[in-house]
Amino acid sequence: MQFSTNARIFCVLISRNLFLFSRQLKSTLTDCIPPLFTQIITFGYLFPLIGMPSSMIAPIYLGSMLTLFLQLGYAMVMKTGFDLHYNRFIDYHITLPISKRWLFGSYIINHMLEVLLITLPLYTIGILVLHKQFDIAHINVYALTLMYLFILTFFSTFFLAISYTATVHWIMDNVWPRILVPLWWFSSALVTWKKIFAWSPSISYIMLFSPITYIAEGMRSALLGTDQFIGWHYCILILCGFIVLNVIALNYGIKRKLDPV
Amino acid sequence: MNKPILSIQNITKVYQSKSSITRALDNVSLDIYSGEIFGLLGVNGAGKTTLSSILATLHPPTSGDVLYNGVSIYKDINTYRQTLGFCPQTQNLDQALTVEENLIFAGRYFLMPSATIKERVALLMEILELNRYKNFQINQLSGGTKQRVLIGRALMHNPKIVILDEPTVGLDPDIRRKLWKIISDLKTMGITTILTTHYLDEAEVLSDRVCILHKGKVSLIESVAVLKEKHQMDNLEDIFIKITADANNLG
Repeated sequence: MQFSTNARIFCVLISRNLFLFSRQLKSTLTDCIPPLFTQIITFGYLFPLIGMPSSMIAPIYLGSMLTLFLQLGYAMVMKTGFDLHYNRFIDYHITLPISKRWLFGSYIINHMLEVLLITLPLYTIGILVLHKQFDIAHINVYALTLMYLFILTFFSTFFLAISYTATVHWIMDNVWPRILVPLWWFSSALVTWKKIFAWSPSISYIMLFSPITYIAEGMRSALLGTDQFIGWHYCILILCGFIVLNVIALNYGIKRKLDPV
Repeated sequence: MNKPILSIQNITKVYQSKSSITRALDNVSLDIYSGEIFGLLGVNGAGKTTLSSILATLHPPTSGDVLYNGVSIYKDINTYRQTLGFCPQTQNLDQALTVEENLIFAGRYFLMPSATIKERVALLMEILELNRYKNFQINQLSGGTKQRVLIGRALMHNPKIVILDEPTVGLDPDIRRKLWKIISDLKTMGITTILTTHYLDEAEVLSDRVCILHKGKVSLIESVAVLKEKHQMDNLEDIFIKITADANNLG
């Protein structure tokens, strides 16, 4: 009985977000399509002009597209942060007859769905435009699906944890320079990890601390299927660890900020 | 007097930070009866909002219990929540939705059938005079209209208890009077109303009984008529000032 009530309210919470998502789709796409095309042009055509080997186009494109996840995550962090600080719509959701686990589970799933619905078509468009660089036969659909699921879970829990552990003012001032930019630049998003290792093992080890490394490498491994990247199995395993840390931080933030029943 | 619908038993709420410990509620016990309008009064920081947020299940008490029809609400909190409508002090409507959509989703969250939602939305829009704002975004509304939408949202699932936390704060006198009418109509609908306010005229007009909280403790619980008679004073404001002054002197 309780399970069914929780599940049904959970579905209403998801449907509200999908309803809003469909309403805002045009504006979201307007924000996301320009970066897609600038990245396709930059990494697919301009960088090869200045000497980047064509074998690197696909891996670099896959890594560079991760900025979309950061952009969408940051938007969610700001929305949640503002709500917690000013509007407090969350207080209404807390008094609904649904357990807290289901409620926050719906927030995680909502963000995952939103990001999936935006990034998947954009990734696909990019792969189609750069089809000469992608060997469709090498794509491991099973690995790619799993990898994508873990990437979405990681980003959703990561950004929700930031929203609940930091104040909105701290987020506005610091989240890019102190969290997102270091995670991005100290990762193998724009160069494959094995290339970095070959150049400087110590720097490559530092990059292993960034979850973006496993996300970029896991995507490459699942889509391009060669041994030039960290295997997607390892990436998923390590992402699991990061997700657990995110959930612990989120749990702590919820208790501290909301003190719910 | 009928059986209490809500029984608050020895509720204490302590807020702890690195530098201080604040006892917002200190061993508060009181009963609220079915169908009454119960006014919670007190100066700023008396513990009114803390108590109403505990009753609304926003926060747990540090100790003590709340019984709904004799059973602890914490045994099956979601069943209790089904019976509850809450209007918080902050006008926390869903900014992304229109007025009508806010009400529709309020019905859907409580798993009401679509046909019932439609009827209920139409009824509440009529009662709360919201029809002309049906398709307005929340940020297009005045404070008074937002408050009416908030009350509509709280009433959507036909709750047995409604908690109104400072529902008229910052509103024009004529809008306050309109809201008073709406609040007194809740009584005729058989809804138990817990009204948190620091407007004493409002409490005097609307409440069947009032509870004065002072520094987290119950100073008194009484009907307005009995209070006037006991203190030989004409209005609640004078009585309130006297009681809080006495409590301060004792403190």
